[in-house]
Amino acid sequence: MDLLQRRLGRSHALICQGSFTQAREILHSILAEGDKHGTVFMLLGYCALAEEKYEEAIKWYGRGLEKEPGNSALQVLLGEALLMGRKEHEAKEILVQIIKRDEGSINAKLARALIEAEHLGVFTIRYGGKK
Amino acid sequence: MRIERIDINNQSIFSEAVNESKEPLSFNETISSKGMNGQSDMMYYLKLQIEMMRESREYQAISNVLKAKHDAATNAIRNMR
Repeated sequence: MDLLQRRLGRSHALICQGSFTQAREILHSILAEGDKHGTVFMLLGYCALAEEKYEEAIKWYGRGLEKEPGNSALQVLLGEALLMGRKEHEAKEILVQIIKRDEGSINAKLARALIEAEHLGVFTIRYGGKK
Repeated sequence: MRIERIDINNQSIFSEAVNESKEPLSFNETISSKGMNGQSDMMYYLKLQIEMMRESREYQAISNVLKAKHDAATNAIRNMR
């Protein structure tokens, strides 16, 4: 595992712990070094989404997809951000596309889980009835 | 009370029964209420059971999303080139 992966792994762990500022510091330092990998944008979006900043999350995922247009993880997380930003139609389009294209993959599982959760109205409950 | 997609054969009967009533009584209210009969007790527990089923499904759905999301992010980091 190289140094970049270690730093990204560390920032992912920090996001899971809720230490968003520290995670962002690592991610922005990676970007400042010129390493504009799609996964860096993915984690920045992940961070924003965890703080319920949907538009910011969409922006980061979009920038990641500019770098890596076929990155399924970025696409599915963009779908999640769109769902939470109450853009269900666009979100479902992306998620269904991933389920069809990558059937059985980790990303397709996430897409399926997101659609199921949306169907049950979980996002409305989890995010304080923002619908 | 919002009840949706209940996988019980006579779903419509249960949904109507739940929708026509007000907030469910607490356990103590149910036990101490005068005029309560076996039927209303049964209705109370049925409503409780349906609510619990719904909550359980929702928690399961959230749990699935969180696990899948964690796996997707971990996988993306691991497979970086």
